[in-house]
Amino acid sequence: MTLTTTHIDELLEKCRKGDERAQMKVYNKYSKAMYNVAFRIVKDSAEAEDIMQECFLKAFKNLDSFEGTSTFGAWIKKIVVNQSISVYNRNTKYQEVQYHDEFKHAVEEDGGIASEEEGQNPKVKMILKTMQTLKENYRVALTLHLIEGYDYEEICEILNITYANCRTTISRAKESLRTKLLSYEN
Amino acid sequence: MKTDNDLKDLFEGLDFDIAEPSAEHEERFREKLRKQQPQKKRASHNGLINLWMPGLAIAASFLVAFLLFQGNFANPFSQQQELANVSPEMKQTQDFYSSVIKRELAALEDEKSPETEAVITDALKQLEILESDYENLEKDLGKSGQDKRVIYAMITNFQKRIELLQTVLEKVETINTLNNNSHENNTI
Repeated sequence: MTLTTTHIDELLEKCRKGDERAQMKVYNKYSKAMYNVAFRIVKDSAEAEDIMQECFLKAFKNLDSFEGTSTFGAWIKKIVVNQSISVYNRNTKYQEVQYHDEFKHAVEEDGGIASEEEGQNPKVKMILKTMQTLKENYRVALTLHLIEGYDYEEICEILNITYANCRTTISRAKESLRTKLLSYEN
Repeated sequence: MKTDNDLKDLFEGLDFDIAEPSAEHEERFREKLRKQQPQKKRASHNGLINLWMPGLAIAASFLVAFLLFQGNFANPFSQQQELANVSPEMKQTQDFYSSVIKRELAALEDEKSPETEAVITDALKQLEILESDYENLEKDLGKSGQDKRVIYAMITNFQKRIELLQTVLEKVETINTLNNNSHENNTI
């Protein structure tokens, strides 16, 4: 893999001109991180891949609106997060009835993946597993806050909720996660 | 109060990207990329065409400029340009002003008398100066590519000429009436 040698700005310049090789390089560079971002929110690997790829296509198409005020990584991550949240909202809306089944299934599936990687990072695995057991809105808010590193204001915007609501949700979610982690540890 | 930061510390420095996208995701993306941007694929051999583009653009703009040039000028080799060539409105303006000037000049000629001759010849000299100014402006108009300032200057030139003729006419008239009055006075 000789892809990280080229500077990202040069790559993006080529992407603007529609250079497929440059676009694939950028894709390869960010795809895993973006896949994980999407996966943590929608909890479905096929869906996460779709979201991630769609967002890359969107990003390449609208590369002119990327002004360089943030890094390209942060820019595309925001696109992926927003897209994932809207897919997530759509799914929860449509599958209200089967919701719990879906949830259990996802947890099992996730457990399966995690067990493959056992030993790689047990701490991360444990945290993610614990987060899966939280209430859904807690899980999403906490993922955005603690893993993706967005602040309250950004989360309000992403989830389209009020600032106060966001603060309470996150602080309750933290509390809930804290007790669960403690009970797992002990 | 370790409660609020303990989670932050716990999460810090951890790589949560433990899930791997499925094996063929790269190929699938390449396909999507190609499907979405069929026009972009042409970009690879667009390179040659791109090289020609600036040249073509320059040639085209020359052609357009030349056509405009020819259309605008009765004689493309003369720098001089009339106000009427700028636009139909300007042609109207020019026609209007020149007709007014002609009329005023004719009126002035009518008023000509031995007493007013000095005033009138003086006015005509000044008019000539203004006319030569106007000719210079006509040259400027051609050179500057119909600059608005030149057009305004030309219109003010017309106005000045009319003003001049009007004031002269007034003067001539007062001279004439004065003389008439004095004659009348003399006779009484």
